[in-house]
Amino acid sequence: MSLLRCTAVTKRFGGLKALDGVDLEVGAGEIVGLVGPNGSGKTTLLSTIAGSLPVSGGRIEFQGRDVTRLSSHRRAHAGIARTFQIPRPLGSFDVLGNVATAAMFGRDRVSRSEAIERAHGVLKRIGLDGHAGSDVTTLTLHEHKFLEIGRALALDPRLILLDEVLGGLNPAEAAAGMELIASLRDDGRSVIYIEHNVRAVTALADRMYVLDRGRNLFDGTPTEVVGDDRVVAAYLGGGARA
Amino acid sequence: MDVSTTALAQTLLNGALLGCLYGCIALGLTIKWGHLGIADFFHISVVLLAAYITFTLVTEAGWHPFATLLVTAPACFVVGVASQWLFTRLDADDTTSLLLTFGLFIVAEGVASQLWSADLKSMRRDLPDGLREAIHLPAPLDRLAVTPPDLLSLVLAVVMVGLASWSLRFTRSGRAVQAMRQDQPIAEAFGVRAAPLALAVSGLAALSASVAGMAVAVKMPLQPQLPLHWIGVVVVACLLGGLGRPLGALVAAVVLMMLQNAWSLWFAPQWASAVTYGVLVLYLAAQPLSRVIRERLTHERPTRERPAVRSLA
Amino acid sequence: MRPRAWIEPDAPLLRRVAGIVVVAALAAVLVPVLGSNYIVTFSFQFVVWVALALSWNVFSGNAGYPSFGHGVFFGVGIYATAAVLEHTDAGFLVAMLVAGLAAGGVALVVGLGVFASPRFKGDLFGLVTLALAFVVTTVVSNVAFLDGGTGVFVREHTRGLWVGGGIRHVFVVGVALAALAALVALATSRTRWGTALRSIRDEEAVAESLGVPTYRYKVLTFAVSGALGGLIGAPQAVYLGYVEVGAVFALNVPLFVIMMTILGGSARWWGPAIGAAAVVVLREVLLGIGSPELSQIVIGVFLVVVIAVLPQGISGAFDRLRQPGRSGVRGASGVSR
Repeated sequence: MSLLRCTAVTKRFGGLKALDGVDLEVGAGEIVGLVGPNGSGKTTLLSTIAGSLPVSGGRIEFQGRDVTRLSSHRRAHAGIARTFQIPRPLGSFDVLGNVATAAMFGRDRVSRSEAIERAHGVLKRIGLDGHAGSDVTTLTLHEHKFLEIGRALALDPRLILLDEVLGGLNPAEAAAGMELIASLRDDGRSVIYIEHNVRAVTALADRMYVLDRGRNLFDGTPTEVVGDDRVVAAYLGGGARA
Repeated sequence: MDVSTTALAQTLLNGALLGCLYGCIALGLTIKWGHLGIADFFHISVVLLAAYITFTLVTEAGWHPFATLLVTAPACFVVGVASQWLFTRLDADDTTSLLLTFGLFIVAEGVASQLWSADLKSMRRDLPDGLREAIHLPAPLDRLAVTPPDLLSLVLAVVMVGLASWSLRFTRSGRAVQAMRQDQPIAEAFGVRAAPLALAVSGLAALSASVAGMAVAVKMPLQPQLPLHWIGVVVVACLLGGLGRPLGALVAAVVLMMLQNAWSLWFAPQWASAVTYGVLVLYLAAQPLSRVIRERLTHERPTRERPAVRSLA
Repeated sequence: MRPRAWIEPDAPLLRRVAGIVVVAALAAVLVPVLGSNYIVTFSFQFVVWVALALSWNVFSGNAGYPSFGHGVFFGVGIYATAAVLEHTDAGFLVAMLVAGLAAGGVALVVGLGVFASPRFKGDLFGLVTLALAFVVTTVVSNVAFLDGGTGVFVREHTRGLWVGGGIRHVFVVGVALAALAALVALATSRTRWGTALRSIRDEEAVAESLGVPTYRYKVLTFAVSGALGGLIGAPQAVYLGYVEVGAVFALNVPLFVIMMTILGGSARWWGPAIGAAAVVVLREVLLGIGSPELSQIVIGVFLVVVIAVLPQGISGAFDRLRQPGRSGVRGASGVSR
C-alpha cells in the first residue's frame, strides 16, 4: 500500500492553473524524485501535499486517510514534513531552538527537555552540533539548507518533502547532502525530492516524476526518465535555456 | 414613517456629493497605500491642516479659496516628499509605518488645536457670493438643489480621480508605479528608479490633500478632531474600492455616504456611522477571497525557481 | 533582534514567579500605608498602564500582531463593570469577573473571524482592530443599558463596597491585576506557549509546517490578552467614578500601550513594564505643562522619535549593552561565515 497518493490535484491561482490534475504516488521507504522545468508546478505540488496551500481540486491521501482538507500542522502531526526552497529559519531562536521547536510540536507531543534532547541528536546527525547555540543569521547557505532538513527530521516524519535542498551548494557540500538524503531512506522514511538538476535526482531516486506546465509528463525509473524524448524536449524547451 | 420621493432623492444626492468629498480625501491615501505600501493616516491630517491654512488665508488675508492652492499645494507636496523620505529612511515595515503615521496624526491634531483652537471655524461668511447660494437642478429635477461647495467637491473629485486613474494607466511613470508595486527588483531591472518615483508619488498624493482640504474648508466648519471622524469612512472606502484604485475609492465613498444618509431617513440616525463598518464587515465576510484584498494582503514570497542549472558532480 | 538561547532551566522561572508575587505584595502593603494620596493615585495609574502594556504584549508583541484594539478591551471591561455595579447587587469581584469575560469574549469572537484568514496581518490587522474601536464605541453610546450617551456614575454604586473605600483599595486591586498580567507575560516567555507564539511571529507558515497549531494559539492568546485588558478595566471604572464613551474609548489608550511596548521593547517579557514607567512619567511631566494640545504634540513627536532611534526598545538596548560585541565573539570562535 502506498504511503502517499495524490489524485488529480489541481491548483489555480486566479486564472492560472499551476497544477492541472497531477497524480503522484509514494511508497514506504522510497525516494521519489520530482523534476521539471521552471514553473512546472513542483514547489506548488509540494506545498499542497504539505498543506501550506489549499488545493482547488483533487484528493490527497496519506496512509490511506484523506488529508486533502487537513491543515498544515495536522499533516505535520500525521507525519509529513517539508523544507523550504529559500531557507526560512525562525529568527527568534538559535539553531538548537529551531530544531527543538519542531521536535516539541511534532508527531508526538513531547516535553521541553525531551525536545531539546532530540534536537541535539538531530543536530549531530546533520553535522551542526557545533552550532547549537548559534544565531541562525551566522549560518552559511549549506548550513541553512541542512537546518531545514534537520527541522523536518525533528518532526520524526514518515514522509519528508525536500525542495531544492542542494541548490547552490558546492560539490563537497552537495555530496554530504546526498548522503544525508540517502540515509533518510535507511531510516524507513519516504522522501519526495525536488531538484531542478535532473542529474542529482537520478543519482538518488528510486522513481521519478516529471512535471511540465502543471501536468504529469512522465514517470518511471531514473534511467527511463533520462532516456525519454519528451522529458528532454521539455527541458530543452524550458529550463535548459536558463 | 413615510418618506417623500423628493426627500429621498435629495438625501441620496447629498450623500453622493459628500461621498465625492471623501473620495477626494481618500485619493491620496489609497494611492500611497496601494502603490507605496503605506497606510498613511497622516494624509488625512494633512487634508485638515491644508483646510485650516485655506481658512486663514481666506478670512484673514481675503484670498479667494481657489488662490490658496498656490500656498497649500507646494506645502503639501513638500510634506508628502518628506514623510516618504522618513519611511524609506527608517526602512519601516507596514506596522511600524502605521504607528509612525499615527504619531504624526496625533501631532497634527495637537498642532491644529494649538494654532486654531478647538472651536469650530467656519469661513462661510467670507466666501465669494458664487460659492454660497444653492443651485436648483434644471427642469425635471427642479425640486432638488445642490450647494456650490458640494458641486465643487464633485468637480474636484471627478478631475483629480480622473487624472490619477488616467496617469496610472496610461503614462509611463504611472505604469512604472504599478510595476514597482508588483515586483520592485524586476521593475528596477527595467530601469524604474524606485526611490525618486516613490518620493514623487508621495508628494503628488499629498498635493491632492491640499485640494481636498480646500474643498473641506469651503464646505464645512473646521475642528481639530475632524480627521478622527473621517478616518473610518476613508479607510473603508479605500479597502472596498481596492487599494491603489482612486476610482474604486471614490465610488465606494459615494455608495457608503448614500447608504448612510438613506439609513438616517428610516432608522435611528445615531447608528448611521455604524453603517460604514457594517458594510465593511459584510463585505469581508461575504467575499474573503476578493481579488484586490488578496493582492494587497498575501505577503507570501513569490516562489522563485533557481534560474541556473548548477552542476553537482 | 538578537535571538536568545532556547533552553532555560526551570529554576529561574520559579524564582521569577516568586519575585513577582513578593514585589506585588510589598507594593500592595507599603504604597497605601506610606504614600500620600498623590503617590497612591500616581502608583495606581502606573500599575494600570503596566498591566495594559504587559497584557497587550502577551499577544501582539509575542505573536507579532500589533493590535490597535487594546483600548477596546479595556473600555469593555470598564463598561461591563459599570453595568454590573449599576444594574445588579453583585459585588465588585463579580463585576471584575464579568469585565474580564466580556472583554475576553469580544476578543475571542474577533479572533475567530480575523485569524481565519491569513490575510489579516500587519497593517490590516491593525486596521481591523482599530475599526473594532469605532464599532464598540457606537454600540456602547447607543445602548441605554450600558451608557446610551449619558455616561454612568459608577461612584454612586460603589459607596457601600470595600473597593469604593478610596484610592488605596483600588490600588491594591490594580497591583494584583498587574501581577497577574506579569505572571501571564512570564508564562508566555519561555514555555511551550511562548515558543509557539514566537514561531508565529518569525514565520507563520514555517510554524505551521513544524506542527504548531497557529490558529488555535492566536485565537486563544488574543482572548487571554483581551480578558486581561478587560479585568484591569474594573478598578479603572471605580477609579474614574464617572465613565463616558469619549474618554473611555479614546484612541490614545491603544496608542500609549503600543508606545510603551515599543519603548520598553518586546524582546523581554518585562520590557513593556519599563516602557509603561517611562510613559507614565512623561504624562505626569506633561500634565505640568498645563496645555493638553502641547502635551499631545510632545507625545506624538516622542512616539516618532522612539520608533526612529530605538527600534528594539529599552530592553533591546539593554541586551546590546550587556553583551557588547557578542556577534564578534562568535565570529572569532570559528563559526564559518
